[in-house]
Amino acid sequence: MNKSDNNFLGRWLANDLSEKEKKEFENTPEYLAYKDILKGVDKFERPVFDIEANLQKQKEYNQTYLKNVSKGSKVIKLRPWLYAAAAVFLVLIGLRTVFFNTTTINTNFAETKTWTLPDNSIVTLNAKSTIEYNDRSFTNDRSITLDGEAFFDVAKGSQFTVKTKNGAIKVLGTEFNVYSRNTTIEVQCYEGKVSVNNGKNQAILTPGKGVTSIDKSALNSVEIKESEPGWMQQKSTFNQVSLGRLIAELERQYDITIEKGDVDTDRLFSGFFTHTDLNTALKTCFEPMNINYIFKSSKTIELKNR
Amino acid sequence: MPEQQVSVCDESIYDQLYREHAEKICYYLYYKYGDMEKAQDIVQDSFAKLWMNCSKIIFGAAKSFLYKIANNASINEAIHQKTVLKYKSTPQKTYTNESPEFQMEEKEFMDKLNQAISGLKEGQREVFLLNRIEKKTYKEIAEMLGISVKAVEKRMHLALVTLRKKIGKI
Repeated sequence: MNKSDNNFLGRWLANDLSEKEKKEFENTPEYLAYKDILKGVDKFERPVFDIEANLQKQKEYNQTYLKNVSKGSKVIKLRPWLYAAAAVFLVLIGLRTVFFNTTTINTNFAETKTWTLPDNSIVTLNAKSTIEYNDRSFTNDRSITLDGEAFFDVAKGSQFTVKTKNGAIKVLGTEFNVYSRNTTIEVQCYEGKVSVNNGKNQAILTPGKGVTSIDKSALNSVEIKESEPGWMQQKSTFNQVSLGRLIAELERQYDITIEKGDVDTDRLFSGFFTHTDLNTALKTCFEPMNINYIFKSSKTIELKNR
Repeated sequence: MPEQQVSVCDESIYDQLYREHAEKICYYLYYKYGDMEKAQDIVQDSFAKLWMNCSKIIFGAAKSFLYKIANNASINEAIHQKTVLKYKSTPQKTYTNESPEFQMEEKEFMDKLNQAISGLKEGQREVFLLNRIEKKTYKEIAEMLGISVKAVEKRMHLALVTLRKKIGKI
């Protein structure tokens, strides 16, 4: 049998071989093996297919099939306005991703966070503060919105702007701290030059200088001695601030509630407190002010005048 | 032309079509997939579809319609199905003059053969079994599957060669 003859056995089974081919094939050792196989196959039986019984079943099946198909193939068409609504929705989502993809970073009570901006400037957020910037436009305008307190180490480059509700700070590449809560803004410059504008007044800060302003009033200048804000070294430093603000800062740093009672929150305070130990902090804040403090619970403290 | 008058929706005509083709299609599917139950299900579905569309199908085209539906259905269902052929061997004779040893060997051989057939490729198995068990001619098979007679010969050849090799190995 010729190996390349790929239908030889097919022809053999159909009795389509020449006498000579047949003779030759019958003398090969495979011949008997094939014969055995065919004999074996002949012994197989196919399962029974009862035509009449199946025809009866078929008729029953046809009935249920028709019912199922007419039930199952109901097509509910979308109303045209639904298409329109879906399209509008998609367009809005698209616009949102193009124009409003802002990054927001928050810190909670007793938490600071350091974040690297897309231009490699570094922002360190103090407790309970928020920054927000637009991913797309930031690389062009280097503009960022702040609520709370943060220290900026700005990479050199084009003008960098920090917007707060109490004023805007513009720099070229420096280190500076911004505090903007309620109606108070404080900016301290540690390196380079910083421009502060609260809408009415403007000041240019050089290293070691700072300004404070309440309610967009005149910018009072302040001298600073440290090389970076106190809170970056886990303490809060104050220079002539109201007791109210001191208490608010304590609450932020330790996630506690302070009940002021009859204490006058307009008194001024100068000094600092640590962020690492509440008892020490309370002592340093209230001892000099002649105020007693009592723990009502682990998170609530009551103040009383002596 | 009386042909034109014949409607598949006519129950007697439908019955006639069923008696003529149902069994053949069923065995064809059985040889292809080796599962009688599934083959019967597909036949049932195919004829149900014929009944549903009876007004659109002329009598002459019914056969090819049935085969087409059956083929499509089987393609959908067969994808993950591992074929297992279950052949009944011929009933044992009540008396035999064959030695027990011979009977053992024969049973073993039949098991091997069964296994080897299950392992054939679909195309080879359907052709081989249609020819050997249904005793269909190559020409009939070629028409049924829509392939050439030459291709049928080739599949027969390959089926036999594969079977011999497999039985030799097992």
